[in-house]
Amino acid sequence: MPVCVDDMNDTVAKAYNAMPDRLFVLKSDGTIGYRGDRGPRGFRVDEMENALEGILAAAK
Amino acid sequence: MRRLAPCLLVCLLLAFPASAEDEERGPWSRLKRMDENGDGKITKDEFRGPDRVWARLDPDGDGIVTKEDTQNMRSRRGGGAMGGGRGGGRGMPGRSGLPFEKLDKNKDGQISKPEWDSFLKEADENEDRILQKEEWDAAVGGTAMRDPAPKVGTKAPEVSAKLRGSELVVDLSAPERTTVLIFGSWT
Repeated sequence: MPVCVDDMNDTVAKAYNAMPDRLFVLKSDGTIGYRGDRGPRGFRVDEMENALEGILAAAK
Repeated sequence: MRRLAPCLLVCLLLAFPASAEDEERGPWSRLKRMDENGDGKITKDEFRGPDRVWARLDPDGDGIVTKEDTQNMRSRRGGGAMGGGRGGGRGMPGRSGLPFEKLDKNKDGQISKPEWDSFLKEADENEDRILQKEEWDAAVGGTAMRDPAPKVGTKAPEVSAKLRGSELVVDLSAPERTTVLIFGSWT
């Protein structure tokens, strides 16, 4: 599974307003498929997983 | 929308208490002081208030407001019961700090169901049909800032990230495959 890493300036995190913890799912068409709330309270892995399953199923 | 119901219910209960004592202290208790001839009816000439208020009191336009009319007005607003109203004007979130005018898009002095639904849709930042407290705070203009993160359905920001263990750079605005972004101070 390819893994990317943000740079030391947190460029990607800033672009996504992702501080301190946050989950997103990007669809293959370049759009946002899922946007979690800001963490830690909004950092819900199960919610993201459900969204991911739906996105993958729709992409088939 | 289950989480919304209690929040909405509390707001409505606070705005429209439905006890018998409140009926006596309600609109008619103030209106009857305007009844100059004591016939139990308030005419437009006797009424000393804004025209828009008279329009709400006298929706059938017969020029007369009685005590029953004021009671019917409360019923039209769905006083105290979520989903119990028959007309517009649902939702009085004033006690939450939300300005009435913010919801009254057409400025007719009433908040209709479409206006309320529009507000909820705009406040739902991540479009998951659940209103989180942060979304509510941002919508009512509280101390929380509006979330500038990209919304669902919008184009991903034009940023890139390096592939771990490689010099290759991945354009995250054109990911080619479904991609999960995990941001965390613990990673």
